[in-house]
Amino acid sequence: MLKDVLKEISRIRVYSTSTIADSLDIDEELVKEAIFQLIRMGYIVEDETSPTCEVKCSGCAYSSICNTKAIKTFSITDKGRLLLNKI
Amino acid sequence: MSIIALVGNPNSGKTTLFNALTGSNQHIGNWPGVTVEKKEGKFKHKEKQYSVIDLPGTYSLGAYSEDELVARNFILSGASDVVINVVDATNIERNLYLTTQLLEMGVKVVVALNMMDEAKQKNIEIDVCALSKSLGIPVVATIASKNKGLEDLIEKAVEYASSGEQPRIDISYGEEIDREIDRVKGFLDSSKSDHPKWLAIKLLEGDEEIYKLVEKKFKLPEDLLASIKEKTPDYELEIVDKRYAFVGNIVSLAVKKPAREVETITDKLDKIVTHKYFGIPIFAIIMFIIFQLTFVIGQDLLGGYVAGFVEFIGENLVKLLELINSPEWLQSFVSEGIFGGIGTVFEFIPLIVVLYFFIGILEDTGYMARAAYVMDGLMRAIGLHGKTFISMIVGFGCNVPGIMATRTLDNKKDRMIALLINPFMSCGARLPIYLVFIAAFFPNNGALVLFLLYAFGIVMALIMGKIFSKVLFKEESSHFIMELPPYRLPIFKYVIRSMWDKVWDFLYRAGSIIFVVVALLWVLSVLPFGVEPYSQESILGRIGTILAPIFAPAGFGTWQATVSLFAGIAAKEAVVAILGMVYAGVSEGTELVLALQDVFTPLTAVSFLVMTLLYTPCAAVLGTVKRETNSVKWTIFMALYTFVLGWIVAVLIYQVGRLLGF
Repeated sequence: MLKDVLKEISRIRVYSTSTIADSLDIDEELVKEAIFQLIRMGYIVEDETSPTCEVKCSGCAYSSICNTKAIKTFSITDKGRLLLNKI
Repeated sequence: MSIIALVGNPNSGKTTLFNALTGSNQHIGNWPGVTVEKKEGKFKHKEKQYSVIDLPGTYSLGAYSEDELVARNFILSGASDVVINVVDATNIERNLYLTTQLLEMGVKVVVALNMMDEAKQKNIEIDVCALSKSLGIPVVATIASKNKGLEDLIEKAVEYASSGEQPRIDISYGEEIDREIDRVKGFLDSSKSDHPKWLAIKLLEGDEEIYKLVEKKFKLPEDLLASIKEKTPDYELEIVDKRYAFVGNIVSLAVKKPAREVETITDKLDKIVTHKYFGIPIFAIIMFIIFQLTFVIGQDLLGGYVAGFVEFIGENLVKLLELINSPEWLQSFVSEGIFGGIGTVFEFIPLIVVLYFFIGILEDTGYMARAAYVMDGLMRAIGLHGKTFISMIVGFGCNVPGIMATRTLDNKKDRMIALLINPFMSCGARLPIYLVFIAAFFPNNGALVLFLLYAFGIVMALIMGKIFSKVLFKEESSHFIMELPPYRLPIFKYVIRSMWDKVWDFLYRAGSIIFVVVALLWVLSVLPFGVEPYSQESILGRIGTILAPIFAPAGFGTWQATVSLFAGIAAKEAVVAILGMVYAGVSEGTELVLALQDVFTPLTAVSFLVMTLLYTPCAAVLGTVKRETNSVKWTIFMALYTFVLGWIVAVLIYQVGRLLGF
């Protein structure tokens, strides 16, 4: 399942859990779980849209206007690419 | 005294169960050597005392976090007589993954199938007996929050702990891996380890902690360890995948879920709003409607009240100062400096409130991710990284976090381009400038002009991005994937909070940095003594007069416009504040609008607006660019190229407009 999800997200540029669940014919919760595991295992990495500052939000003059509604983006890591080349 | 360990995923109801069992009889401390909280409690069952350890919530028993390690080490230590695995019945696949790992360790596990009421509400049917049979261990349905099933759970746990039964689980990881597991297990068996099969699996999974443990405690042959290291990358994912397959089989036998909707509302909406051809026009229409509503609600309905209030306060404060015979300079400072300058900025708050309220709604529904996606296609088509638009969206609030958000771009090319074009996004501080000129020259087409200014900023960013990618940076862009979260109804509380944060920041800046700029420039505008305040003879007037010819080709070569633009480099809100102040006698927005109508024409107003959109960003943005690039050269480049670009476009607009007879 994890391999299939990794393959699927490497094929597309945008995903929703429901579209992957549809195309792999698995439960949506499992897709979420697979993405969670792939991140834990270092095959994909979640990018932070919110600034990843050294300054803590509480001490930042711009915290109130900073983006708090992050748009989630992921990148496939070298480890993930290596695996994709094998499958 | 028997010891029961509670283990489970975060939010599975584990702590609720712990509290229900132990009541106030708890002790909270820390696990030795780590900052993970240790919760211990006691309870009596059938006159016998039991100790309960609430282990940290964890999804797995790997070595990915301190919580996982603490839970794993405690279970491995054999200190507990039985482990109660709390499983969230509404999310059974994820939770049973941990259960399989516990079973692989060979410990005695009883499953507390918790939140059964919520599972029922979601029409999830679980055959508890079938689940128990498949897993080979006791499973008890519980609702910890209502104290249901707890007696039965403890009964089963105590009974199972004292029985001679041992959990059995047999997951096949495929012929090759199974063979390797047996080979490694053989060596560990001979080294008399407690959990030989589990250790063998974890070694082949590439668990570094276990590798260190085995290397230290059991003298495995060097060549075996080397071969394990070599095979790990291929086996790691396979092992986890097989566990999920095992869980999947069990779930298919014991759980019935309602059929998945073939096409959810999110899917249906996404087909329209992320459409290849309609996506961008829909985004444009949504933004236009928001601008239209901003004017209707913010200006027509609410605008007059705030303007009237600021005027009322200003007039009465000046009267009070006159009454107490305060110095004339103070009256002038309060009247023209504070209320003519900063007061003018305050009058646009209703529009800012309404605009950010609607943007907050867009963000909270999940639409902004779609906007980034539809723009991603366009960005890629012109050779820019799709993530650039995400930092641009952030820049609509303020360019400082927008520039910081470019950190998500991996390679230097993508990051530098995103950083250099971010200031073309119309930040909230530029909004008062747009609004005062719209009120003066385009009162009937406010939303359209505002929309065009925002759109023009995006277009200029794309053009400059394309030029930079061709001229300055030529590396390839990297690939990324974007998640489209399900749509949801906006939560009013969050929308209001998001709006308030932005408005508060606006007020805070108006009361701090803009106040300082206005105060400084007010002093310059009334000195030297003896000259007409706010006149061309004042220090400010003289400085402005020297610099004004720069902007003459763009049609606004007055000293007032010039000083306001340079003051805007300190903070963009200062542009309107200074315009309000230097047009002497102006004490509130309507009069500033009239003053501007005397000095500007619709054409020079447009060229001035475009200049303010494109020219040098504020000092805070330049400071951020310096910090992010660690380069004075790039900071100066940013300050200069934006100024030159703004000037060129403003001049073009004015000169072409004049030729066309505007």
